[in-house]
Amino acid sequence: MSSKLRAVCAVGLALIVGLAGCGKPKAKPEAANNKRTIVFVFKLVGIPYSNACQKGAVQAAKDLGINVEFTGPAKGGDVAGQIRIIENQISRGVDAIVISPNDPNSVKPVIDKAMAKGVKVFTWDSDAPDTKRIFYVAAADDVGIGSDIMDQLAKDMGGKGKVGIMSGSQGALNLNQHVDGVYKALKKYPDIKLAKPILYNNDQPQLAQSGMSGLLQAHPDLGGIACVSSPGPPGAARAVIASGKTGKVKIWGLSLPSENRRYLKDGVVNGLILWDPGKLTYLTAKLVNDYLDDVKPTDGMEVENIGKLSVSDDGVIIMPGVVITKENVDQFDF
Amino acid sequence: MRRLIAIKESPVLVLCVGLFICFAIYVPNFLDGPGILDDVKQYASYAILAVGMTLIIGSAGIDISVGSVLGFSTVLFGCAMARGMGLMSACLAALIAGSVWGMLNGFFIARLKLQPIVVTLSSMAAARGMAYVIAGQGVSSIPLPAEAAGRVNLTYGSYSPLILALVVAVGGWLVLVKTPLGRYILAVGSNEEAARFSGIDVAKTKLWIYSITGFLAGLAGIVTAGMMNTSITDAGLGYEFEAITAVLIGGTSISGGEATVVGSILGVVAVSMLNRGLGLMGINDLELWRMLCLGVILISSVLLDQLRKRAMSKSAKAQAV
Amino acid sequence: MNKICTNKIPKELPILLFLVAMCAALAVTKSTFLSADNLRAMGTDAAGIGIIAVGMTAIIITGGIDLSVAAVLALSALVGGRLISDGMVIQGCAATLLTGIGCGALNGGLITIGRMPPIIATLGTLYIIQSTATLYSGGQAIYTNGHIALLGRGFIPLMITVLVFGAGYVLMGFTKLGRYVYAIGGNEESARLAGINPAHIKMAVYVSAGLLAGVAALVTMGINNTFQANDVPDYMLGAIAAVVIGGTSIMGGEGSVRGTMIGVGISTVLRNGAILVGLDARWTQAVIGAAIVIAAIADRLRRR
Repeated sequence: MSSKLRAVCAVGLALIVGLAGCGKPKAKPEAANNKRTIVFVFKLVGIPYSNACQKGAVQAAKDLGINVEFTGPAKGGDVAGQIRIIENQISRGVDAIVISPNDPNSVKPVIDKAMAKGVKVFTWDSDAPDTKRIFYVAAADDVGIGSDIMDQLAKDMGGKGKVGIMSGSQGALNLNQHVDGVYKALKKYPDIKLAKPILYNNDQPQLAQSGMSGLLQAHPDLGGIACVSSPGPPGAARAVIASGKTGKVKIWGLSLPSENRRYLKDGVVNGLILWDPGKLTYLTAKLVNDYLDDVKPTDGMEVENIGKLSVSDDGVIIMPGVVITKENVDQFDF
Repeated sequence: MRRLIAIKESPVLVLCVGLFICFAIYVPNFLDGPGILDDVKQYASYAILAVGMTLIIGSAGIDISVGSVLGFSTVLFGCAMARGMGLMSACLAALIAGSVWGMLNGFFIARLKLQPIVVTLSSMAAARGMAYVIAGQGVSSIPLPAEAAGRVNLTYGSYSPLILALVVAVGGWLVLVKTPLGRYILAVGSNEEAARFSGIDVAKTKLWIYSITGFLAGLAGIVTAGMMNTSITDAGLGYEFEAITAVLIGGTSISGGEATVVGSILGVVAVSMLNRGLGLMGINDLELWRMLCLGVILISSVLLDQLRKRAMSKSAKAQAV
Repeated sequence: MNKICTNKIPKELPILLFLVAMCAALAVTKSTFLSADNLRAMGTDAAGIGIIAVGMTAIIITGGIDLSVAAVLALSALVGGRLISDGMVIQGCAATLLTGIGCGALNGGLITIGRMPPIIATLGTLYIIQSTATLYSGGQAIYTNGHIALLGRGFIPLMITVLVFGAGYVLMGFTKLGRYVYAIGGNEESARLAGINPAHIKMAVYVSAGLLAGVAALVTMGINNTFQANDVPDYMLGAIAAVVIGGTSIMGGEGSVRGTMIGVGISTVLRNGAILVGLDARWTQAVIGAAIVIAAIADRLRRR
């Protein structure tokens, strides 16, 4: 009895796989409206940063008259999920895929495969340098951002004191590179000492705050903190306010202005290093669209509303970033 | 009809066929031959974990450490390769590491009689922590050495992960259906006390299944490292719940005593079809919709299973009359 | 029967000793550990997980589990938070609590009316509620603009947590409802024969857990002044860990709110202590894992 039933199931399974194998490829979905489709694959969807990017993508779709879609894993650091999504887009046969890889090595096989199948692949926000991707659009390099944060912090600390570092998850490559940047810059300031341990907030505001509170207890003489992921500065600010150390502990970091507006104005957070994610995505969509029309980006080209781009030989396109302080925070609406 | 109702995989089978027909009709490109296998292939390591999870849930246990153990093994594999160890010995190291974590789980659960969820919750944290420790400060990804990567890139294009997953599935099915261990697992799952009285070594059985699951998590770790071309410290994050979901959709009973490897594999197939179908529709924020559908599917398939059981007991009664 | 032989030694003694030993070691080596500042910071840290852990304790005592609790917290925070940010504080708080209750009722309904095993029902609602929360908010953070900052100030989060624990302790230890909860967890069939309606009790427990998730949502928003759908994914396992460290049996029928309180204390002190002594973050997870197993073994030894 039981083995018969199992046989039925096995036949069912075989049927499914078999049907799948025999099926014939149908027309591309885009054929319906004949528009070009560019898909952005985020590191993670459903967070403010990706949202700000999506606004730029929507605007670009409108201005350029193309389809721009966005997708990405729903949980942080989901490298496998991201590959799965890219595979999906390849079988869908879109015109171009723009990726912000969670990990540069992991996407190599799938990027090379996409290129071989005629789907153009680009990266933005984070790079995958050793792949066949066509170009990479960034606001700054990952290590450079860390150094910039540390330099600004050192200036505000007067070049001496104790400094802490707060990152997001221990597994995130770009964050680890930011931290490397902070270390690198730290070497220039012999009078600044590192306060251990390095805090990891796992991208959760609560952990950012409690971690910072702990660090303030462990190092009562802490002079500043460099935060390399977005929940960092507001979380650190709340901890600093709660312990009445506003102004004594300087906070610089990578975060969105909307999350920090109040803290910047109150002088708890000293400044942010960032770029406009919407503009970055808009620019990327435009450059990719141009590329598909056979117009290639050139070094030093001026782009309206954005500024002068630097384009290097290995296909890295850098858009100028911004330093946000309480003076200019109201100019940014993301 | 009665026969169909008697199959415990029938809800998931209905689900698979239903999803397949819907997507085949409404989603262009869904039937594109090679593409579908590429998409299903992404679920290879997940299917391997689901096989182990089926055995564990069948014994009325649970293991939420598999994702972390996968992460630990993949990192160990990467470290070994990076230090110049051969492919074979690196694989061996990863498999042993996975089995050792599984054995530890089994030891605490079987010998010290701690609750499975407590033990595996703790090894979930510990294995992930140790993965960070052996990877080193600030390391999130250990790329495979060039010549190994070359070979891996070749295998990426092939269907070897899928074949491996099928082999594991067949193995799991054989263990569950054809061996004494399989009978012991289900006996322990349906009534541990009765199993003990009938002479089954309950502790040994549990030790075995947790070790097997650990071994499979190690294997999944190697597959993951291969498919990703690198060893990632966060690999397998959250896989435990996805594996549990597939097993439950597949018709294995959470209270133990009833388990089906075929159902679990069909569960994985259903989830991967859902992923492909929704992906090809070109929906923004696809993953969120996928999660939503997964929740609805999980709940409805279990409700469907209850209807099936009710219908079965009704027809049994009718026969008795 | 079990009660009689354990009456002499309180069940929670081993883990309490563990907590006290940890605190003593930290207090001796780090002078700042017992400072008001640090205690306040730990209280704030413990609040969210602590509040939902009380509901989780009752659920686990009935023999159930709630995997959706962090998602419920997120959805209720986002639903109510939108109103709060527009200045409708009362309506917003009510909406938060009602959303929590609604989600709790959904879980309870699936489990009692749908007769689903709790782990499956709440795994399903975890997926549904979490993705609904993200889709509903469009991934945007909401800002409470300081309207409920009072809930997050100073020792207030800790006080709310202690109040919730007090209420849970009284309800579970000294009321009929509490006795029924233990009864259906111990043996549902005999509880039914004794005239208890398990469905009603379970419904009450899941709805209360939903309500507490709503309370935790308000406190979390008060502390952070902002909320975003992905802010609290660790709370679910955090709460379950606190409950099981506290000696509550996952099989149901046995456990206590007191124990959970100690469990929350242990995990909070561990997190804080790791930073105070400068433990490399890579080791922290491994240490937490080890602590859970040690607590479980201690509990096991007591029973022998």
